[in-house]
Amino acid sequence: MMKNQLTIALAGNPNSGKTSLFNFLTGANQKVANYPGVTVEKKEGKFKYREWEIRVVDLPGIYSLTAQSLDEKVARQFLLEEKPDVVVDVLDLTNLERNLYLATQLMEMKVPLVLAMNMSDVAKRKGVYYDFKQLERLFNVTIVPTVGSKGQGMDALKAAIISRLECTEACDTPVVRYSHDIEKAVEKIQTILEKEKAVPEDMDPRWIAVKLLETDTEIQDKINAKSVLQTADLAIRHLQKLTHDPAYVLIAEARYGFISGACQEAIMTSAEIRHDFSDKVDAVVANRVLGFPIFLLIMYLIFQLTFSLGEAPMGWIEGFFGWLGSVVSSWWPTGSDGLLKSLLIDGIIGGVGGVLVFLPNIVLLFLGISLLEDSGYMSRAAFIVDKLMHKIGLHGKSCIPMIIGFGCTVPAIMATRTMENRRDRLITMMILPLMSCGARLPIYALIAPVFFPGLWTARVVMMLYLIGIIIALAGAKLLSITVFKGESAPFVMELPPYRLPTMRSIFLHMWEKSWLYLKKAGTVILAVSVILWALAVFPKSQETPVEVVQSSVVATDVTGPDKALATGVAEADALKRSYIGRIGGVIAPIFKPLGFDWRISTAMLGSFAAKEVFVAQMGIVFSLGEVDEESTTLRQKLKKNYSPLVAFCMMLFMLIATPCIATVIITRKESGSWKWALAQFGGLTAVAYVLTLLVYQTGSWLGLGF
Amino acid sequence: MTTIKALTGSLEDYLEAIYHLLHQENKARVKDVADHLQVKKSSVTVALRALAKQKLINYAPYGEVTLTLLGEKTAEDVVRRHETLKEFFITVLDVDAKQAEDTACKMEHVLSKEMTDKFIQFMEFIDICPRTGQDWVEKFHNYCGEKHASGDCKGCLNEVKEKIRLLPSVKTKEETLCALSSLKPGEKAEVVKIQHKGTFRKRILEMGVTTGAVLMVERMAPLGDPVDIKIRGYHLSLRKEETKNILVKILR
Repeated sequence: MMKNQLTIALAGNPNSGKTSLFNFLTGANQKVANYPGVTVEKKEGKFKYREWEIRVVDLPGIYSLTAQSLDEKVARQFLLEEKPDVVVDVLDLTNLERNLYLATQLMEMKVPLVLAMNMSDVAKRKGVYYDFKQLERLFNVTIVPTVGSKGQGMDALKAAIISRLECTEACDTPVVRYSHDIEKAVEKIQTILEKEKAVPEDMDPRWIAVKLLETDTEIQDKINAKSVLQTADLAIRHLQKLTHDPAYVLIAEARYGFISGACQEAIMTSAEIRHDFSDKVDAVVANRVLGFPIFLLIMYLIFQLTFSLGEAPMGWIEGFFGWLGSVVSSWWPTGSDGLLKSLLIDGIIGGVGGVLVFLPNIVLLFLGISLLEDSGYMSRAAFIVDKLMHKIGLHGKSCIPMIIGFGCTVPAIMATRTMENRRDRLITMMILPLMSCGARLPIYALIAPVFFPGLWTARVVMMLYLIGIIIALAGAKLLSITVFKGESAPFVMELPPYRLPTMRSIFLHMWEKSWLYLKKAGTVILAVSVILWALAVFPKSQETPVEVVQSSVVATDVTGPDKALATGVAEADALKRSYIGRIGGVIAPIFKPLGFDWRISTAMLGSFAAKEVFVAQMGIVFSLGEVDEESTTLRQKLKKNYSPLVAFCMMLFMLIATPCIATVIITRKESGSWKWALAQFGGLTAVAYVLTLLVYQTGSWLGLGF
Repeated sequence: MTTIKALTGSLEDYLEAIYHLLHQENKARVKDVADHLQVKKSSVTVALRALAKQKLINYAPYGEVTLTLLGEKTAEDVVRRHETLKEFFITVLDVDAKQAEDTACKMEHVLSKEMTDKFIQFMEFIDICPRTGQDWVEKFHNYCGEKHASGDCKGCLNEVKEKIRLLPSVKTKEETLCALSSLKPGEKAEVVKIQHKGTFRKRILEMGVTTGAVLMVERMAPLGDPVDIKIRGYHLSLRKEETKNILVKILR
């Protein structure tokens, strides 16, 4: 049988369980989260059903199609331009009225529609009875009950999608009939639209007429005929006179009126206002007294767990790479090329291995973030901090990307798309790199335990996070009263019900993030490691053969045996003569006032590719001068070479300065201009330099350094 | 049309009488017409002949009178003029019914179709236009009542201002309205008026905050702002700044 290709789109409100439905339909590895606006870009998957090959596009979660926020624009544009064969609107059955609002708009657009009534298990448990037959009749649409978290109803949904294809004319009569006056206006505009042949290609004239009455600027721009716009304008004014309300209010209220009526006919509830599980949790978590302490406690616990639980597996991985290095070294046939051996042991194992050690930290941090997201706490966090955020010129919703920013800045910047106001979005974007991301964690994890042992490790790291947050907030305030003057958008946010995160989605999320981290280690970091290794080894000078490099000690290692001191100096010379040494020599004077030597300076250059490279680079630089018996780990070598003050300055500088290249690129993409990306890059680097300078110089003056 | 124009005032009165008789009694004989208009039967006969000549009625001596199609139309036109004038005199000018009837009877003959239409439109306008309306007409009646009232515009304006201030409460009769921001947690209310415009209005509309929607204040955020309200079965949070302009009626 011939294969038939189809495209379907999944639309729906945020929190309707769209993404988990998508996962079950396609079996794809997709992220599910329980706060508004996780699916920031449309995602695709594929599945086969009977003879059909079906492409599924997961649209961002939206409340309506008015094209006010970027998400809505993306979704509407897709529906208008790509014309999916069927649109599946996923509705949260426990919150039917508001979810149906989007459905009525989709019906007006005349897209071929199927409604998936999701979370039907939760609704049933609440003691609500739904008359789907009645709803199907009222809305003239096929309804399929589903349970997205368990994958129930998928076959019925697939069947409904196919049968919707065959139904054409009979399935799309307009559902909402407006009041007499509005209908008259719609009719008038529609007539003129058709007379002037001004209907844009493939669009429904009635829908356009309604949109024009709603003063939808995007549709207005699409209409070329002046007479149409004039008619619409007159009609709006006439309606305003008759009812004292703008037409868009009348239309929206009519839609809700229709929905309320339909719901009254089709829903039987046992209790009117239910105080469910969610309300009980909120009574504590969003409590006036307890709310804020709980918020801070949750943040603290996440970082504490990231470090304490990560310690053991980190030791295993560290041990594994140490073992791997020695095995490779002992199995290496004597007399063969020492350069290759150095590449393997110093470049790859030293570089990539150094980064992979921190995988447990990353996994745990993302576990924490995905628990916050999936449970629904994220929007409570926005609710709790909005007043504070508003005062400093930000928006409560900025809180969500900021928390995601602790994981990775790139998705955080993408998550700003849910913000309606461009000003709010830009300010948030500019300060997001200051949220200390997961890639900076390896740097802290490498340095902090060495110089600040015991309880101080977590405290110093927490302090760094706090410094980042404080600079971010101060920066936001400064930006809001200088570059970005103007009003912040009003705060309109849904507080979704708490949901127990499913093991499946948590696991998927963690696996995805770990995989991304591994992939980064295997590609970017591997490549940069090899390049940095090569820069450190070449050009080879004749008088320092590789063997000498292998057995020499670090120049600054004053505790090393006297005998080795001479070769140690030679080794130091070799490294200094290498390309990296030369580059380091050039830039070192710039960083000298901050207490950084040429090794740290070059590692910082490398960290522009990815922050973790800093760790890899330190590994390579120190590994090349390794004395096998004496200092086994990088940490011990660091302790010998630097003071706690320098260590702190290193971390501080890495926290604030130079967002990684991926951040710069995504900022350029999301802000729409290089201007913001470069301002962010330059501004942060300048702030980092000045602050670190202040800290180091004050510290030295107080006698904290040596 | 030329024949109609030639119709004299008294002939129009005859035609009108026949029209009313036919609609009320279902029959119109010479005697009925004479009684209705309080004239002699002979005068009626003369008039009927004239009307028949103009093909407005079907008339045979001693028989019943019926209207032709043209006659029906012409009569309707006369009646319409009459009724319009009478209504204007009574409702707008506040003249008593009898005087209105008599004046209308006389004036109807000289009113052109255009004038009649204008009259009708003017009356419609009084009803629709927010600057006029019933209040305005009432004011005029008061003005006429107290002959010496010298059009105290200042007092009147103040009165109007007061009325506008109380407008929402006028709508909901005696119930008092208050801002959503003044509600305490646990209080239930119905949305009556949203004094927002533009994007924000659109945003909250699509979230289900429409007039008539019932909501309950769940809690304030720890810092006192924003507020968490339950509406249409879900939780929505809004800032006080914005809830100030949403007027509600507290439900108990």
